[in-house]
Amino acid sequence: MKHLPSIKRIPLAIFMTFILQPYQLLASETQLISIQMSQSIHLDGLVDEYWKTAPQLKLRLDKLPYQADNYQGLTSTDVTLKSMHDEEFVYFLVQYPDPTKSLKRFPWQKQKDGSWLQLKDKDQTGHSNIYYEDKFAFFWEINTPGFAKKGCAVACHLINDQGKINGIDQKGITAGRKYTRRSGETIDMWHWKSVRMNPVGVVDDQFVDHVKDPKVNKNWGRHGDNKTGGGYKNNINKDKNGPAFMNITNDGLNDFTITPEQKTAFVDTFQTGDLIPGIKSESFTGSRGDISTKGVWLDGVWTIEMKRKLVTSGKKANVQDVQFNDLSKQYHFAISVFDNSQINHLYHDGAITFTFH
Amino acid sequence: MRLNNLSFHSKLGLSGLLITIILGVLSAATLIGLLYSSADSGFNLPEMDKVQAKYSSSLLVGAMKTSMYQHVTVDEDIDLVADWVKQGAINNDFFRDEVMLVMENDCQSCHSRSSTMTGAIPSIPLSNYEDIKRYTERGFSWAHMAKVAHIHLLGIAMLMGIVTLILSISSYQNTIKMGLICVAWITLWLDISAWWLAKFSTSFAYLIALAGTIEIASIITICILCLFDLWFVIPAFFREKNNN
Repeated sequence: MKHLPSIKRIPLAIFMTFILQPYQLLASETQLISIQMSQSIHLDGLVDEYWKTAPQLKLRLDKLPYQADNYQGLTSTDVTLKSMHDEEFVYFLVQYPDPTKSLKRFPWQKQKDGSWLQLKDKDQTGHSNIYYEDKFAFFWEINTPGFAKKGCAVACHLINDQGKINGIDQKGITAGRKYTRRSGETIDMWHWKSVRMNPVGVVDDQFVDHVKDPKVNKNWGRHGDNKTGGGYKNNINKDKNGPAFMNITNDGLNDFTITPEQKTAFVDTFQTGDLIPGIKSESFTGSRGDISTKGVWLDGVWTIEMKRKLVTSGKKANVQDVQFNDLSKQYHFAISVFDNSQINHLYHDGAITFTFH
Repeated sequence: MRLNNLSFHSKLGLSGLLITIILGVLSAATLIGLLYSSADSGFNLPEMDKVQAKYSSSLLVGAMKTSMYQHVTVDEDIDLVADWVKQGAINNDFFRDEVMLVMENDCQSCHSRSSTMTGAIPSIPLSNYEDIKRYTERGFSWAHMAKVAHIHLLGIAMLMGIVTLILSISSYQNTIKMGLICVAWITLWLDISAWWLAKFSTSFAYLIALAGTIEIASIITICILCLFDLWFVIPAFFREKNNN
């Protein structure tokens, strides 16, 4: 290049910049690498200094499984993922922009006449997109053929033109169901729920199997992992016309679910328009509570940290949980973001490769 | 008028055009490599069985092997549908029990009249036998051929016309210019013709791959030669005689 007049370097520079460079950027587009760490991670929903050493994967989620008639949420967001591990645990850092922190999941509201109304909305499938919560999900391949290629689509079954799934009428009941094709094929689902489970510090650990009949399981292939206790329940009184409990303090943190520490009998001293949580939550125990978490929404961004044992134990751990028992192996997963929606979610095509380094 | 005699601004403008054409052709080659290989990233060489599937199989099986391959759960799904098509694509128990199961699992989320998912194609439903049957004819139908051929022929002709005209005012030897211009146009005609002929013999799939490769290579070569002539001095051996 030294002997070329500067003006003649222009076309070569253009060629190098615009033709060669894009091909160099193709590598490792959808791979997340977990690096080994030397210090313990404190789950606080903040990007602590140690996370800066971990390689990140940035992925755009811009697809929705259906157009809900009252959906007002995100239609696209860029999710950043990082992972680290030690001898016993694997950790994940998830961040994505979401301008609205959605907390009002089916809250009770005091009416002008003194009665209480649980605020709910339904789209054409019977699901909420207004009075709900923000959620995030990991979907991990355990042993389902096609997952590495199709990602979560391998278990997604939308209603057909007749409004049916597997020959069963689902019109007005749902947009789709999750199930795998054959018996023995399972997928691990880590469902982070900002209102119901984030305050008690666990992810709702679930799994998907081949069940495609609501008579066998009302949620078809979708199941909660085995649990020994805890969970979330509607906060509703015996007469089903108002809340049964409320929080000791209503301070913004405790306005939308009722944790055991805050739970107290409902006494109505409220003003018209006041809200009471429509749900009460306890941390899961057993396999369903395998994953610890802390998520924080700040300045329009959700930052979520998760922690799970590399290898879980329990009666059906190998069926219900992905087991990171071979750190030289490639694992596959997919992610989705629920913006204040019950079932509608942003997703991406294909699967992400996960490796340990 | 010769390329190397143009003003600096004309050279810049033409360089932008030629580089953009190279980028466009490389993008097309990347897409072809992705559609006709098992890879989902990077620059790949097309696999012949996928090229044959696209042009010699039914549209349904061809799509499952190429453009829709990423949505097919396992390769056995393609074999199953291909067998059914080979047996005459009859509305029998095998269709209802096996083929429809594959359609439900792999196709109908997007390909149904009522689908509203992102990227749905409700205009090409695969919801019932009648919907599916129409895509089981081997190779390109007259209508499909006429549709894709006129788009490609007219579109590529515009591109080819521009680059060959630019080459014609370069300072290369006439034999080089004539050779490249003829090769570019002839391979375009052979490529598109072979799409249709592959309906009758799978061996024409090799002609598609060969002619397509030469066509792409000739366009890129023409662009690079013209860029070189715009900014550098052509070695005497390649230069036209009256321009020495």
